[in-house]
Amino acid sequence: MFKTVLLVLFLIMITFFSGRTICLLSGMFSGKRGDFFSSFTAGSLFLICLSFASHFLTLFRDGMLASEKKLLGFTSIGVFTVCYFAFVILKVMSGKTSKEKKEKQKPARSAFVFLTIASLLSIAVSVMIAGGFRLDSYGDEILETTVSFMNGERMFSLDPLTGLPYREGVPMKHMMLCLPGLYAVLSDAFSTRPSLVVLHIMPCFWFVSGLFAFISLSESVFRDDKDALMKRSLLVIAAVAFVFASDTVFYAQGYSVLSSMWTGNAIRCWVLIPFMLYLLFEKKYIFALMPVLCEAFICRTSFGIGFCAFIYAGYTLIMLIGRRSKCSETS
Amino acid sequence: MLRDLVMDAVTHLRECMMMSAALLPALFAGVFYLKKSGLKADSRIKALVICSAVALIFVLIPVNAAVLRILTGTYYDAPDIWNTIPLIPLGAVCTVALFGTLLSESAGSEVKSAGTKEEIALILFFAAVLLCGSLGTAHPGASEAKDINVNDRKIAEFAAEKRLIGGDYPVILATDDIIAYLHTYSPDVRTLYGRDMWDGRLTKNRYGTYSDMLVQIHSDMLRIEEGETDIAPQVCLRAFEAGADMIILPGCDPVTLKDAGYNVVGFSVGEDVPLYSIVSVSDGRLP
Repeated sequence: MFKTVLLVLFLIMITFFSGRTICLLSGMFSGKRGDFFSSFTAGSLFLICLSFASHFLTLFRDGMLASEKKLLGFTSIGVFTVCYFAFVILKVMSGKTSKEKKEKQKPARSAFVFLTIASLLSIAVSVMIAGGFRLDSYGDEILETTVSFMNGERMFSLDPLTGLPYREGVPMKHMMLCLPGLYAVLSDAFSTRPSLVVLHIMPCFWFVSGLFAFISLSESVFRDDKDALMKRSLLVIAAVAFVFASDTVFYAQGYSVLSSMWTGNAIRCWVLIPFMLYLLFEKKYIFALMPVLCEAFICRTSFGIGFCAFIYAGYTLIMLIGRRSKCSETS
Repeated sequence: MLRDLVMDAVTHLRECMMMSAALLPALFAGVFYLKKSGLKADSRIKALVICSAVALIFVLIPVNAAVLRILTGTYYDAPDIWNTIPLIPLGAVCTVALFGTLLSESAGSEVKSAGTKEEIALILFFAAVLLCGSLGTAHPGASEAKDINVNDRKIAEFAAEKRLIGGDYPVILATDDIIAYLHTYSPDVRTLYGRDMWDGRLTKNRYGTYSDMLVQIHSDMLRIEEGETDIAPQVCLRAFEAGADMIILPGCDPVTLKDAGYNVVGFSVGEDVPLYSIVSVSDGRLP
């Protein structure tokens, strides 16, 4: 129990500090530093990148989980230490005093009602996902792969579904996907059952990260609105409503969020795409490539070209065309 | 080829109808927001709606999956392509943006017009569609290890601890639920076949398929689960030939199996609970 709590704390700390550092660094160039919510989501994407790097290097080294655990462990401690100090320094360098804080209009009472509903709904769905009330692993073998990594053998030497040597082998593009490695390292390092990590802790972590991505998206869309708090709360409520409304077939996005939040597909549709849209809305086009990369690290895409890339390209193209037509109209 | 294209089109249309509970309100909200806001519409939301509309047109044309397959070399199954539409953020952003626009309009106007009734009807329509969409839950996929019953879990955990005389782990044959659970419980357990035997989505992503003999053994195990326990001795014979060391059979008569020459150990988790038979070859390899 104690080690499970440590695991959760480790996830929160490393995600927040690394994400906040990235947002503050990005803010030095773009002028927009982001807030706690965007920092947390950015940190969760950074965790994916870190995990991929250590998984990839381990595959080419000896393919043992112990090596990946060592590599990811040292890297994350190093990153945490660097990010902590960088966070302090950057906060001091770019921090604002209370005098510089923008005078904010007090929200109406109805806004607090919507905020309460949004909060309660978010907590309820988070508990539902953490409790694993709607699990479905159809078409997914991440848990079995995670468990198989812990048998002391070289990763991907044994078929996780039979425990016997692979009949035909695994293509490199599937071996490179880092989620099983990340989950196995966390289970092993904190002596926690893999099923608890994969089916309960990580789905809740990714769901909360996605919620924060939607909160960041709402902040970007309704920042200067009169009823900003109410609209932001409504956006969270609407997002949850659409999750349930798109829960009609097993391959629908809402179904994967509610039933298999540990998988790459669910993380993509609930965390990566909304966060990428937030970054695109904030005109952080370089930073928005991070979710595109993360999709390649966690989803079975073709050479890394996935749906995030399609949406990124489509949105950017439409914005460019729109800008050009505006320029030609004014000229 | 034309028949295949027509079948693909019908499949896509059926998927459209299934996804419509979320997609329809999302797109309607986007279109109505753009119509209401006119020139004041947020260009970012406009771009998102246009991007999603283009993605939807792209998805609706069945041949695009084949084109993508040729271009990228990966089979993007028809259901996967729906992920090109950012459904949840689109729906959330457009719905709230439309709501905000309607709110501003109603706050600004001094006289309630007939248009207000239309707007209220629209909001009720959205709410109804979202509610109807959320009421139906998809049928869960096959063989969820979490759904394993307590008795199967106990026998699986018992079997996972067994070792052969030489120290190796035995190759186990059991029911689907037990096999699925075993590989989420222990990293060392070995089974004759895995969950990809019955999970079609897993089979799709793997190289190679199971032999006809293993497929037949799986079919026979399903028959035994349904009560045809008289075929148990033949199933055991085939399974041992295929490489199994230990077979867990639910509800079979141990005497019949002993008469067939096998070593049988009964396993019961309590009174009034079906007995499991753990069957092995009588060569002493499995203590």
